Amino acid sequence: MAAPTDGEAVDLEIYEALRRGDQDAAFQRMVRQYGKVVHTVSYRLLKDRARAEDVMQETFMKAHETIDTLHDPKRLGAWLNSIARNKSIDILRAEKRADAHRTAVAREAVSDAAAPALEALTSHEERRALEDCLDALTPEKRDAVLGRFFAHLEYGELAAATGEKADTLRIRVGRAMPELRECLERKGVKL
Amino acid sequence: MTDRDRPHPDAEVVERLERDLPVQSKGEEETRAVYQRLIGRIGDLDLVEPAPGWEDRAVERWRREAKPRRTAKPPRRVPWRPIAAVVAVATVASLVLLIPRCGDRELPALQVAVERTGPPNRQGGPAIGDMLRAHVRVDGPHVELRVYRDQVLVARCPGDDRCRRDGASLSIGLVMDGPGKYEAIRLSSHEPLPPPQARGLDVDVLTARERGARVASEPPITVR
Repeated sequence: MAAPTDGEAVDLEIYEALRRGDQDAAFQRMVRQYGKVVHTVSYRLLKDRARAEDVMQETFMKAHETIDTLHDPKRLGAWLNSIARNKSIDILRAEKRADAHRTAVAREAVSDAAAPALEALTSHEERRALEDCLDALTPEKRDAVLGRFFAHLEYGELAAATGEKADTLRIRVGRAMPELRECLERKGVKL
Repeated sequence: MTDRDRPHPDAEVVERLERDLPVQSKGEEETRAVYQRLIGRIGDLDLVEPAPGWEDRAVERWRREAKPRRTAKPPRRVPWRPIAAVVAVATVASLVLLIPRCGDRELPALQVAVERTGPPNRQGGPAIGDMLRAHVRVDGPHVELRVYRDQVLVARCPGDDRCRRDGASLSIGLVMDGPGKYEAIRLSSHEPLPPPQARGLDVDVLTARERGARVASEPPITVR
């Protein structure tokens, strides 16, 4: 069996501390270690800092409450991202305004894409271009791409939340990435 | 099917990449590299930090609202007697089988570990500058340890200055000096091993297997 990577070792340590150690210290460590990433996973779906922070807090509380149900302690970080993602998707579904809003954003971003390519983009501009191109994807594609490559979830973990098949999500990611590449290249980003 | 419905030709390349399938052509290799860089950029997107004081607010809310911990489902009543009988039989059988071999406990065929030299990256994983340490057991006439970064060979033992031979073990310490996917493999055969080729890890593994070599590998280490 492979030795745990550094990230997995941190996951294991915090998992063990949460199960057996000083609860207050373990909870604080979990918050410090994963807070920003969990917040970002939620923010990228909700586009609202206050609600993203709320989701982050609820994610940690749920994780603490149900830590004994985590099957693979080496995936603690991914598990937290998965909880945050599911909570954020629930919020979007409940509000129902998400699709209309995202479609409007996507249309704006697509029209931006027609702008002439820029030369020598700075890394800040490139990041901004990537954010815009992600926004131009359909919500389903964006969620799959971010879940896979930003939140580092396996397809099985992505599928567990949505009830879709892992293969469906893999195909969706396969289709989204060329769109993302073309959008970036139109904006002058070299890959 | 309209052009709009038809998947982009790169979609299949991304899918193959995600399924960890071997590269089929030079063109696919180049296309994969583009998407690996894009994946890296998505992973490196800026973190969106919550408003100052977020850590305290998270902890305070937990102290205020924490519910009792939910434990995994309690185990069902277990029929201990039949299990104990089976365990006893299995233990005796294992002792009979294992005792004669206690003297020749072997090193694992391949061991890979990361030695951290600085703080971890944002995801808590290996960072640029960390050291990859790989050991292979040498138990035959032709054994090699090879390390690849993004499919490209970066070290080969024996032969590289960084390689060390210690009894039945061959090892290397390699500084991971850039982002990428680092993979160590062990090749072993009774015949001379095929040399590495310019087309990278997947082709080397296939070629070696075709020539009857055994290949051991560990999951890749991703440095961001």
